[in-house]
Amino acid sequence: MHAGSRVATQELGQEQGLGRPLKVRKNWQMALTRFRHNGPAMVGLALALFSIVLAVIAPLIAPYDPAATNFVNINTWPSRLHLFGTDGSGSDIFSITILSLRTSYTVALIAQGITLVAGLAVGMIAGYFGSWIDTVLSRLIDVLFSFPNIIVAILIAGTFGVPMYTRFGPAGRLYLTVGALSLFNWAGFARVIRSDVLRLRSLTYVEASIASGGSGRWIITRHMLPNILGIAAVLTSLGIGNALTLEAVLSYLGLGVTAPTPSLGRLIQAGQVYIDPFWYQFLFPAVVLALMVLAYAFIGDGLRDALDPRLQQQE
Amino acid sequence: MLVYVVRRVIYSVIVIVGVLFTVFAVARLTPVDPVKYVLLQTGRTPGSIDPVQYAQMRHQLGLDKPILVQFVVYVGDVLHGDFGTSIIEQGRSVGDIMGRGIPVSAELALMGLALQFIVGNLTGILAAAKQDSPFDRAVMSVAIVAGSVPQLVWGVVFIVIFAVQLRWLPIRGWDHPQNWILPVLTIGISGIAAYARFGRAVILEQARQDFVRTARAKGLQERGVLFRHILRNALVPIVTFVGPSFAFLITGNFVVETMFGVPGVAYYAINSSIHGDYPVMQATVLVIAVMIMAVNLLIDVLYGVIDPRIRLQ
Repeated sequence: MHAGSRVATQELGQEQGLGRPLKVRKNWQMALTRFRHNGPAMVGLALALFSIVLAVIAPLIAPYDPAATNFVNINTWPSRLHLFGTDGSGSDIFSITILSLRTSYTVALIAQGITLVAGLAVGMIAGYFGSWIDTVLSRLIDVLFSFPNIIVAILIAGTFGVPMYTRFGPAGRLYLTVGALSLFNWAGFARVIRSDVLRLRSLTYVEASIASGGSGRWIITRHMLPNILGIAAVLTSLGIGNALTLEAVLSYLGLGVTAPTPSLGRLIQAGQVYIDPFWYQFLFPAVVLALMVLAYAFIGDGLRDALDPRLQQQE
Repeated sequence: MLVYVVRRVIYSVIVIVGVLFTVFAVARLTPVDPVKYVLLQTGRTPGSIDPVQYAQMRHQLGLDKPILVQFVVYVGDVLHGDFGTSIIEQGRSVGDIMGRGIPVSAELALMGLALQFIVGNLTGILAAAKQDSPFDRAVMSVAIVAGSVPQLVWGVVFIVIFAVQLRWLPIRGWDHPQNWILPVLTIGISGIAAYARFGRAVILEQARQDFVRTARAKGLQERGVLFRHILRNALVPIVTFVGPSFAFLITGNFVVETMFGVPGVAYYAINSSIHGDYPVMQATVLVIAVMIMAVNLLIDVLYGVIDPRIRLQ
């Protein structure tokens, strides 16, 4: 044991003496390793990728035309011909479900993209510039953060729903849903980023950079952003799951996308009509939604564990 | 303490005025002209609207006044409890609709809040007390899944299992106590999981503090350490957590009231939004916003009562 460690030390010394660089594992490489060893996170990643692929190729592999009705074949239970059964007008529920994933992802990814950009920008401005800018932005963030997205959605859908539909058709309702999901949503994101920037600002190396004349742009891009990307990735993953849920909820309530846009929420809404005894129409789309949301929750938790600096110290 | 409360109240009032203005402005932004809307409702075609009558109606409704004057008039009406009348349900005042919806929604939300606060925190305390035991691990795994699955999905699962398959409980309605079980469970389950995880984390955090070690060192019994030192200090973050979880509960109200046919504020809010019933929609948004502000104010005040250090800031 003792000798072994001395040998190791000598080898290390020799390597250094020869000028061959030690194999340095960067932080992100260690984080990646930790992420790979996290079972639930990897299952989540697989599920998420599977659902994305399914969403992309849905029009190619959907076994039936989702709009096709077949009144001889209504309310049939799941079988090999119809994996999720058929609905009240004989349409294949499995085909509608996988096409719904496209709507889910379109809404969730655009809304989350807007949240990411706006949240990063506002959070960094508030945290970096401080003083009255921070006071004003923080108050605004606090207020927006305390109001659920659903209230915004009700106001937006109720006020602009009909005019947008008359002008742009079903796509108009899709834009509105994206708007409802992103209008206030960046506040929660900005809140976390702001407090992280405040923490980073007080660190010695940032102070040193400021003292040695580093420009605001240099400090933000070189010192702040790389350190914030981790938490931004965690929030984005959790946010995608959240956006997928909200799109389904809004469409279920009748405030999101409307016919003929396929949506998991609309499927659940339609399935509720036939719930007794054809409960599969109600349950299957809900289970698909649950699996997708769980996948992003697991990825988010896995990323957080992988990036948590406290865990790095323990190793 | 008084200064602290007064400052919080003033802050809430400012926010509510902001909400009022937003709701008011959004209603004015809509491309639908209320005067034309009413005239078309009375059977006129767009071409046959008499410009004199049109101007007269605009004057009657006060729409020809400057926007700020309109806002002041609107705030005055709201403060008098006058939210106007419903467009869709002719003749019913919005105040009447709210009067019926608010108690129902409050019942549902408070039962859900009580369920998640009590069951969630008890689970969290038990899990923390037996940290890293199989019980702790099992509870936390279940909590992660239960908290991540959307309430929409839980509602579906509960209905399919308990109402359709087992036929123990009714599918819809709110008239009898057995109607309450599934909605309250649906609205509460995500919160139970969230409180359990949060409560456990907070308690473990407090258990690491120096004063806990001191309490043990001076020979205090484990029960005394838990109740007098750990729980007392854990209470502040746990109470603060009610704020964000209440906003989440409101979202749950919308899903649950729709899914189980509960005639609360959320139910009317959605109906009015879908059918373009502006007065009802504005009133429901206002009521919900004021409720959220009231809860947050209450929590801020409680926060000051529990932890005297906060008052000084």
